Amino acid sequence: MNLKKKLKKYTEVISIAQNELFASPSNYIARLFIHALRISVFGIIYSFVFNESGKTTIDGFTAVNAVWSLALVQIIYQCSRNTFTQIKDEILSGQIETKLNKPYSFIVFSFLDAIGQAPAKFLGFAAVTIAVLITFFGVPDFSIIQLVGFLPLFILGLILQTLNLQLIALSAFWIENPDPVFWITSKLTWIVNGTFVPLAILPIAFRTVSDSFPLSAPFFMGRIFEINSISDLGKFLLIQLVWIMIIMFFIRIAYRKGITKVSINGG
Amino acid sequence: MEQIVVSKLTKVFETKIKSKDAKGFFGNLKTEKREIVAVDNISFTVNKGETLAFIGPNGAGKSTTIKMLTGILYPTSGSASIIGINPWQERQKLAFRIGTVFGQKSQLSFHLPAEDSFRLFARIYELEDTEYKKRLGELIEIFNIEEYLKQPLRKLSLGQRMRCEIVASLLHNPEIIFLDEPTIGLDVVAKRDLRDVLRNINKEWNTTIFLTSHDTGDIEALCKRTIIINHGKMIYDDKTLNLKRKYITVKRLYIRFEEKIDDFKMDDVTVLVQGRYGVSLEVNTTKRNIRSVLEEIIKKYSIVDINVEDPSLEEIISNIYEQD
Repeated sequence: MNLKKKLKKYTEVISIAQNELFASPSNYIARLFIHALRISVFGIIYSFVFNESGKTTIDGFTAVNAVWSLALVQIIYQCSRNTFTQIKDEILSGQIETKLNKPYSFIVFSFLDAIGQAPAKFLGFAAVTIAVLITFFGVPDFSIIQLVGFLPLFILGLILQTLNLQLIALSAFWIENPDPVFWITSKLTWIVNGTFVPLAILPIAFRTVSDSFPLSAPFFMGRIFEINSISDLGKFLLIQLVWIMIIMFFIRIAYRKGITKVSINGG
Repeated sequence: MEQIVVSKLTKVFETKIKSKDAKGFFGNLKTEKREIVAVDNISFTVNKGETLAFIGPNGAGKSTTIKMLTGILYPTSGSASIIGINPWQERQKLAFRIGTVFGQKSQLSFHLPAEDSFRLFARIYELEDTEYKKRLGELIEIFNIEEYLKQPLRKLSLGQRMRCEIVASLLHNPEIIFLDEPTIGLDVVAKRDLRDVLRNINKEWNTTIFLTSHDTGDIEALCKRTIIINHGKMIYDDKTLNLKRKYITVKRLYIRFEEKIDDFKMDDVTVLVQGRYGVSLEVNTTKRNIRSVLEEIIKKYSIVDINVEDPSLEEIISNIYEQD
C-alpha cells in the first residue's frame, strides 16, 4: 500500500513535468525546428567532407552513418536540456525551500522532474530526426542488434546524463556560481562523446579513453554503428550501468553533505 | 498540549567577506570568513490551536527560525520538537503533519493551473482520492477559488495566487501551518479576506498558526500571542494585547477649540501640530496622567471636539525594535 502510494507520488511528478512541457507548445515546436536545422547542417557538412575526400567510407563508416551518429547524440542532449540550470537555480535562489518542506526525497524529485519530459521530448525529437535524415541523407544499414540496442542505450544514457548534470548542479551547495564547472564539463563532453566528430572515425586509443569516461557514456547511442554483437551492446550497457551506480552514490553523498549547508536569506 | 518546543536554538551562518588588507587585482581574491549569528539561543513553546505572531525587523532571524522548525535549515546548536518530531532529522515525516507558505516563493507550478499542482500535492502527501476530493471541495469553498482553479497560475493576481498557495499547504490537513509573510504585496481587500479565512481555519479545525509578518494588521487580526525577535534574540513573548498595554507610554490628543489659539503650552505635554483652532498633542503617561491633562485643558479652553488615541501597533513595535 505504502509502495503503491509512493509510486503514485513519483509518477505524478513525471506527469506534471510533461504537462509543463506542453504548457508552452510554441517553445517545444521551435526547439524541434532548431534541432532539424542543426542536424541538417551537420549532414551537409559531413556529406561535403566525405565527397571532398573522395572516400565513401572512413574505417568502414559512411557519411550517412556519421550524420545519423551525430543526430542520435543530439537527441540525448535535447532530452536532458535544462536539468543543470533548473536544479542549480533552485539551490542558489532558495526556491529549494519549497521542495525541502515536502514529504519526498529532493534528489529523487528533481531527477524525475528533469527526466519526466523525456518521453514526450524523445518522441518529438526522434520523429524529426528520422524524418530529416531519411528525407535528405538516407537510411544506413542497421543490423538487428543495432536496432535492438537503440532503446536501452538511449534510456540508460539519458538516466546517466541527467544524473551527471544533477551532480554538477549540486555543487551549488558549496560554490556561489557553478556555471564554470558546467561549462567546462559540457565542453569536455563535446570532445569525448562525439558531438561534432563521430568517435567511430577517430583513433582507437581515443575511443578507449572515451569508453571509460562518465561524461561520454551517456552518449553511446551515437556509437550504435560500432555494435556488431550482443557482447558489444552488453559492454556499452554495462559501462552505463556502472556509471549510473557510481554517480548515484556520489549524488547521495553530495546531497547529504550539501543539505546541511543550505543557506536561504529570509525576509 | 505543547506542539512546538524550541530550546536554545541557535543558527550561525558563515559568510565570506573581502579581506580588510586586500589590495590590488589579486587582493580581490583574498577573503575572510565571518560568522553571522542569525538566531541566538531562543527558547519557546507553542500550544495546539494557538495563533502566534513571530515578528521582527529585517534580518532579525524570523525566517531562519521558521526554516529550522520546518526542517529546511540545520541549526548550529539547540533543539526543537514539532509535534514530537525533530524537524531536521525526520524532515519527511514532519512534512506530512505541517503546512508551509512562503510569501516570497511559490510552491505551485507557474505555468500550470492550480488544479494540477493540487493533484500533485495530493499524491505527494499520499492522500486517497476520496479524501483529496472532499478536502479540496471544502477548501475551494472556504477560499472561494472555484472560478480560477483551471487558469494557469501565471494568469492569476497575487491575492488569488496566495489563496491557492495556502490551499495547497492545507490539503493534507496539517496540524500546524507556518506562514512566512503571507500577505506581502497584497492589497487591503485581499489582506482582509486572507486574514478572515485563516482565522476561520484556526477556529474550525483548531490548526495552529505560526505567522511571520511585517504587517501589524496581520498580527492584530490573527494572533493572540506575539514573539518579537531582534538580532536573533527573543525580546518579547506575551499576549498581543499586552504588547499595547506594556509598551504604550504615550497617548495622542486631537483637540478642536471654539476660539483661535496661537501658542498652546502645557507642562509635560508635547505639541505635535499647532493649528489655528486645534492642536495635536502627545502626552507621556509615565510623566503625567492623561486625566490631569484633560482636566486642565477643559478648565482653560472652550472645547469643540476631543479625541484620545493610542499609537498604532506598528509604532509600538518599531519603538521596541529601536530600543533594543
